[in-house]
Amino acid sequence: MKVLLVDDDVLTRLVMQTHLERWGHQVVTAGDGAAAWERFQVEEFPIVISDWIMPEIDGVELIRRIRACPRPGYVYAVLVTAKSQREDLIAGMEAGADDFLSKPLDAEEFRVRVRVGERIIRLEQTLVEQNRALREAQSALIQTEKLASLGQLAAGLAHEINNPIAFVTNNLAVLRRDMMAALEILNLYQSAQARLAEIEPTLAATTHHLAEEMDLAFFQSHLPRLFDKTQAGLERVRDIVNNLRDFARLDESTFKDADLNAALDTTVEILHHELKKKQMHLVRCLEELPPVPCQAGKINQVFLNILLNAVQACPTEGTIELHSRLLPGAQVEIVIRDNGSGIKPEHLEHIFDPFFTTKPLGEGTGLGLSVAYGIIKEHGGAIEVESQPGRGTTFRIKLPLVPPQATRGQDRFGQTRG
Amino acid sequence: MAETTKHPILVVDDEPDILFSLRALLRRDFEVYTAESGAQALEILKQHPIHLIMTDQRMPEMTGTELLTRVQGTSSQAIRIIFTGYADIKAVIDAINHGQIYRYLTKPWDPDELREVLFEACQHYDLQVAREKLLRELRQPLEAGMAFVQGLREGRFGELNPLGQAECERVCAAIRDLLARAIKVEPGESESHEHPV
Ligand SMILES: Nc1ncnc2c1ncn2[C@@H]1O[C@H](COP(=O)(O)OP(=O)(O)OP(=O)(O)O)[C@@H](O)[C@H]1O
Ligand SMILES: [Mg+2]
Repeated sequence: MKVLLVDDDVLTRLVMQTHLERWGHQVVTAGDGAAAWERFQVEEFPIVISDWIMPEIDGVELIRRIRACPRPGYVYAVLVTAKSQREDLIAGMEAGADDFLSKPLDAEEFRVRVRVGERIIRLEQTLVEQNRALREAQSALIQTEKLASLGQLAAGLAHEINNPIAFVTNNLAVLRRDMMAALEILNLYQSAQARLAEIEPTLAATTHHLAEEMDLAFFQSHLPRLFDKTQAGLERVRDIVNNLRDFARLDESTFKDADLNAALDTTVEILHHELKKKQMHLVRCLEELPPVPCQAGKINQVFLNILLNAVQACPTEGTIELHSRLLPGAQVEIVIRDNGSGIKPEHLEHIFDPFFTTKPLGEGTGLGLSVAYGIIKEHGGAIEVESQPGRGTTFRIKLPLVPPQATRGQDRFGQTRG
Repeated sequence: MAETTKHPILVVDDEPDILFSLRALLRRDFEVYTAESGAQALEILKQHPIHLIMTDQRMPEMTGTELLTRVQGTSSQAIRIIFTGYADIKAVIDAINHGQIYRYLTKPWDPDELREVLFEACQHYDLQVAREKLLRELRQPLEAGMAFVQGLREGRFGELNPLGQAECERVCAAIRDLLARAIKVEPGESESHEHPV
């Protein structure tokens, strides 16, 4: 284990170092508190053993600083002292010391006490590891639930909306046809308005008055556009439903050949509103790809999560580029690039961690990329990121044309949902 | 086709709004019958000479493809069309491959396209009927011709040289072939057609 050993007395330091190294530890020494503090800030030490009385930064102050410094792992701190007064020990413990060693050193006691520290650090490390595994499992659970509910929602929506869309569209066509025919009849009647005025003056006056009131001429000239606009609106609703359905691809929870360019387009369509709201530019350089065996619904989810991040990272009128190409070695590559805020270097290694987010509370769950990572891994692919703060971010996804054996072809004749 | 002879067609969907809407669209060009279930559709088919049946796939109790399979087993010569939402596409493809369906349309359909498809299908029906009528009408003269050639061969009108004999054999075979086809289309014996999709 890596130990930081601090003592201003060369001889004591040497004796302790010899012991520690014989017990298999890796020792870094410092001659005073300040040097130790500097070293501690750039390196990780699970165990720190420090002399109490030193000029300027003494052992207690050093431990206080160590405790105040946010570090992922625990640091086991031992103070070495000739002091044995009760008040002194309390002061040391309050500063954060875990244990005390008294001078002159007894080699056996030293060994045992360091062993205790080592045991505590190991316990803490297992705990961290277990915690991480737990979080991963939790995020996987949330991911499948998120996916399932999105898919179910989409399928339910598509089914429910489809029938009304069908008959409303149809009714509109009927209305247009019959309305136009009726108007033609009306026009014929109107051409006899002068005759009518002679025979039935009151009736003629009433029809004339009513026609003026509703501005019949305006109505007639605008009716075609009214129908056109309504029809265009309906077509948009229909497209949205189609997109949702394509997106969820419920009937395809198993590996099936898919057109990834089309999948990208579908996902972009889903984000149509977001892109428009921010007046984003979309550059689309998609090369022809062979069909890729995958779980289309999940791959769509990956594209969505990455594209959504890109949109969120971009200012208004930002640019998102989509590239796709066939790579040698039976792989395809999808690149999603934005010119948004970029990712700080110190964040880069954490962005795929579940629950890592830089977004304000309530805005990001920090699951988007960990979900994407999990899905791509499941497909035997890889996902990489490059980023320059202030310049933008590039995500690179590679998927094999031959998926991992275990998941392939369990159910190539997947049942469609009824 | 003349205004007076609108084709009788049957539309099947479990949603009344759809039936109402389709009737409004098609009433001017077709004689429209509607049914809200497969069972009701089969009943109507028994009572009316329907030329074309168009059904939704997704219905409770009897699905569209099930209905059309049953129709295929009756004497009805009606052209069979299905319309379906996206998720049912597999069942429909199976049905097409088994020759049970002339055409399929996705829901929501395009009204203009729908009318065109129906006109085309009805034309197909007319052609089919005309062909069968022709073959039926040919039967009597064919049988008469057959009798005559057979008489020739048996020497009832004088001895034939070998060349004449061979010619008689040939004509006989040709007539027999035609007759076989004419008999095949006798009403009641449903024939499975291969329709383009
Ligand atoms: N294109 C990008 N540009 C800049 N930062 C990004 C980009 N993509 C991801 N990030 C950073 O990575 C973090 C994690 O992303 P992830 O999608 O996993 O979670 P999130 O977007 O914060 O939340 P969620 O996706 O669950 O709503 C983000 O908070 C952000 O800081
Ligand atoms: Mg995100």
